[in-house]
Amino acid sequence: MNRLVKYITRDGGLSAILRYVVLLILIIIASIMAPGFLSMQNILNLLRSFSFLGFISLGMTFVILSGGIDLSVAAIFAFSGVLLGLFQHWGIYLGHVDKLSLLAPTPILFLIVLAVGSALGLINGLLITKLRITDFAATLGSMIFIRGFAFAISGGRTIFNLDEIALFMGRGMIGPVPFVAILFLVSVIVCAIVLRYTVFGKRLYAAGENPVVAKLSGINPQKYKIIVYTISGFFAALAGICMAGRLNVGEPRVAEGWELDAIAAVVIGGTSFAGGRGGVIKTVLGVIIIGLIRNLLSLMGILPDPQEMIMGLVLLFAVVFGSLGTRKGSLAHT
Amino acid sequence: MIENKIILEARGISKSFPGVKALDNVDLLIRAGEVHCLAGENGAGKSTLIEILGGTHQMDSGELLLNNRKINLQNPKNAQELGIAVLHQELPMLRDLTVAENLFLGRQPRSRLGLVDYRKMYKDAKKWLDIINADIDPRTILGRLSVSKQQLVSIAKAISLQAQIMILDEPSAVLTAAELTRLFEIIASFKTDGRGIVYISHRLEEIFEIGDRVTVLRNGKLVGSEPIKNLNRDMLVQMLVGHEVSESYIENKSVDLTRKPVIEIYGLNQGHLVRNVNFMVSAGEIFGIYGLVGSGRTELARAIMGADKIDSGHIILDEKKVRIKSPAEAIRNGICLVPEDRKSQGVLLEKSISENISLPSLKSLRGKVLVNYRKILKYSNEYMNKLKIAAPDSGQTVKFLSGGNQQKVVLAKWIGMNLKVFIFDEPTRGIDVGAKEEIRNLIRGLASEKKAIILISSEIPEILSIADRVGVMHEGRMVAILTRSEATKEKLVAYSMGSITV
Amino acid sequence: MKSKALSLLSDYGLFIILIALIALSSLLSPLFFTAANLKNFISQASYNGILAVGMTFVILIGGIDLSVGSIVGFASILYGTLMHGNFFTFMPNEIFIYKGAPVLTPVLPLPLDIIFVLLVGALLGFITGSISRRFRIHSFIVSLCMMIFIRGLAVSYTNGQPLFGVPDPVSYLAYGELFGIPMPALIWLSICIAAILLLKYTRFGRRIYAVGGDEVAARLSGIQPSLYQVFPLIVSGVLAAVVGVIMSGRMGCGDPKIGEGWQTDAIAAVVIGGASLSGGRGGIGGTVIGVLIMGLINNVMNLLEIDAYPQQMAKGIIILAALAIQGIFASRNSND
Repeated sequence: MNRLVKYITRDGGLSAILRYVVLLILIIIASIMAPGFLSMQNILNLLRSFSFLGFISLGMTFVILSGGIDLSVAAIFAFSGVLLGLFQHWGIYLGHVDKLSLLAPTPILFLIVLAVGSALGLINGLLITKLRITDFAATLGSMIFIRGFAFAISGGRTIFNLDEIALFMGRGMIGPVPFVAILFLVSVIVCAIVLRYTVFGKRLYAAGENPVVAKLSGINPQKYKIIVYTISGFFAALAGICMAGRLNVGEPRVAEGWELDAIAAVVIGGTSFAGGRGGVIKTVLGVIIIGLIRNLLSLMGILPDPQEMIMGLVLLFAVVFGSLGTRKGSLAHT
Repeated sequence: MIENKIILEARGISKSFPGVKALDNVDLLIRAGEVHCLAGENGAGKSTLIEILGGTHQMDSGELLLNNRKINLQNPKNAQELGIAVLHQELPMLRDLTVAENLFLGRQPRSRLGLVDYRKMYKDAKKWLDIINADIDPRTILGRLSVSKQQLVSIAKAISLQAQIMILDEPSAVLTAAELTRLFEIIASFKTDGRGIVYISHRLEEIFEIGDRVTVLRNGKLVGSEPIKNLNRDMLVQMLVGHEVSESYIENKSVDLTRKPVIEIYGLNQGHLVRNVNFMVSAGEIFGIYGLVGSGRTELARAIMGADKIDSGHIILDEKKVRIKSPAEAIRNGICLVPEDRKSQGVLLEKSISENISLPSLKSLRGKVLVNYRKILKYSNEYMNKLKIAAPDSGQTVKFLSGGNQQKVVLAKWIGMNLKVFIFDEPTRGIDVGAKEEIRNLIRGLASEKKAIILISSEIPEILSIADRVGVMHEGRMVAILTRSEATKEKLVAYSMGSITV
Repeated sequence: MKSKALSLLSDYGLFIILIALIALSSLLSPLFFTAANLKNFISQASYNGILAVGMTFVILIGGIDLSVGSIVGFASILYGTLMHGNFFTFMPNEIFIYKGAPVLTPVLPLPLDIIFVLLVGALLGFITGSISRRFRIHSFIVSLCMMIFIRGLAVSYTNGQPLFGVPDPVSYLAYGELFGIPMPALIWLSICIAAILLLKYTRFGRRIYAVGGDEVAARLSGIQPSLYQVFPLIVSGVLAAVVGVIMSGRMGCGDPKIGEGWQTDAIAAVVIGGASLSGGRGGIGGTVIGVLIMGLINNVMNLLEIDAYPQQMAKGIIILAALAIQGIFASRNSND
């Protein structure tokens, strides 16, 4: 009995059992409550709806592995959608509201938006490494700024109607499978390979666990910090583009508070706040758990506000359980 | 002679940490007016014992009697209230607060209203600083003082507690000779006051100089407790080590000093602690660097590695001038550092042996794009076996290894990389005697493979036994470079303390 | 000597910036130096000021309390609920929608209801603090969870509707004046004085600095850190509840949505005031100046009729700039 407790609470042991048990319980409850839950159609739909949070959680995984935290992802998410909307309604400044007028071919617009998102992430990285601002404080500041920027460039308006290619990002299907889910799965595989099988990935784990050791081993931890924030910005922008396509709007209010869901997904998945331990496959598990909980709460007919309250508790439990395995806990941010 | 009154009695103290029995049924008697030295190698259990006496750790079994009454120490606060004060080896001080606040942390003098009386606090602080002859303004922010002055503040603090029992954990490690003499005078005055003093030191001379009684621990067990006057140096060493050892063993190796240097350092300046340092090391040579803690040895190593930005000076490798701005560039140029603090700077504690060993050489261990785990395993197993790292396999997490094996892991990171210059910063600190000798042999082995070695050490016997030449540092300058035949213990000490007249 | 000059500059630099901003404000808008605007400015700043005092305590121990904004909303709706004793039984429509002066049926007599709300604030802070301390999770993360939870609780309680009606004494807390000074400012001032006394002139306060500066050092000096790591979050919770009550008076209703995002302004003020996010350094004096600087910027942008969104952007930039300056100073000091 004692050994079992020890096994469950030791590093990683918690993730091995508890997380899957939670997932299984959630699936059982859901399939009892909603009979069609395990149908192929519903699973594919869920996959799509998890993908948006999934993208930013992937980026967040890189950041948390490096020992940081990125509060600006949801703001970059919203900003990217608005930017795409504006680029597709370039005439908005001439008064042609709601009429498509592309600044450039849509794929190029995607590239621009992704570049802007990455650049915003890069700026976060520079603020943290060059100006020595704490991760959380720097991204809190840029979160406020970027969200304000998104409102400012759109004048607080929702920009309706995007073109077909943009819609495909969020709504398109390849056979029976939603395009965004495929995009997400490909991203997961690429990220998993990068983290596990490239020099970059292995060095990132080292830099995240102990930057001093990493530095003396010839790794520049600051460079890695800058790169992970850039990756996080990139995925936030990608999520923003897909969500804009899904909703067919550029909307500055979208994804408010999602940074917290992403952090929750990463931590529930089993990536340590202290840095250097975890991975994207774990995060996918966390995303599914978070997504299922939200899905279940909706199935039960619980309104958005009480849902938030329950998510707050879930997040709290996740963080507390996540800290049980690690001896030091996660005071790494001070 | 009538034995003095017993103040504190520790009976049958045992304490285990995961995987280690740190203390096993240890007794200790502290008498009034007596300096009780505690000796033992690193890992013998000295620090655990004083941490229990200071309330930082709780014992698993055993009992503590203070003036014949059983006491229960839950935390440092209990200990302080009962009159047990500990002067810790590291400086647990608050850099953002003033000197006076640090002295009276948590027990600031109060006025009748119950508010902190700053004027009285500064006055009292000045009083205690004067007692130890420290010329420090109590209003200064502690972080703005030099390290040695900070150490004086912590001594003043320990004294100001006016405790019944004072535990001093290696205070001599960071003090200058004059400061140490003053400390011994203070300790003598405490003896006459009838206080009990526990003094921990690695320096045998000190034990014989001020100790009345010595208790020796080995591997967590009590070896013996004897009055100093019944012992001589050899007997004490034997108690410490457990078997007869020949302390210094000097190998006769001829080094051709006319050979071309591998690394040359000219006019290196970095911050306050590296000032105009010049030296060179040739292939196969072990260049020792001796100096007191805070003399700039570690800073010199970090400057050469590019870990801290140098202010001026240049480094020449194989007759080519190189600019090193980061450790990565240093490694590319063939220089590596085995750092002073293994746990926080040398190894990734949470990662496996093979992850650690392969970390700097990942680029050479990949296929076209992706990392090849089979190569990593082969590579790390090779060096694990070569250095005889004791672990079931290379998948073992490094935090479960002993200090000596962790140090070998750090070394294994570099040995396979075909580097030219190895810098060792206190490579044998905190590891047991057997492993120390192993590490020294590995260093000698590297030298025989024509590597240039820079060995920083505080242990004079170590330096004298393996270095071909010794540079001595004092306040950031390299004040002397001595060949093996010139170097003696007395000279090293004299130079390191800044007294040039030998 | 050089570092002394530098620290003088960093001490008084803040004050100089404040004076410069005041001068600039009066140049930019002729309305600035009118009695009405100054009163408005100071009472607006007071709310953030009170929160920032609590945040100073938390930041001094190296923590962050993101839940204060939510506690403001929760305290406000809780106070509103206490004004409608029959709320639990039948939830009449008229207390949700304002139709003239509502009939108040207070649960508790006047000072007691406020005290009750403050105790709840303390409890919430205590929960955040003890979870953070017990499980060694940074308070920023715990308070983030609490922020979502408390806001969700407050909003779901009344479906997001405000509860109208507060008694006159509470309105007086928001709108009253004493010697021509608005009440919120007086409350802020007295809280500041109490906080300075506590932090600077009691052993308790000095121990907070010690624990924040270096927990190990504090422990070895015989200080038990737990109390000093939880207490600041309790202070922060209570002060957020104070703001919640005064805000209810100001709006004439208990509003669960009030206070959203206010935590960032409070953090910004403390950081601008020179406190270190890693703990152990900072003080109420600096925070007050930080609050005034933040308030001035808001006030002037309002006077100049700048939109809310660019205001938000400006705020983000100001916070980042303050942090950057601090980072640069810190790195320079460490190089000395």
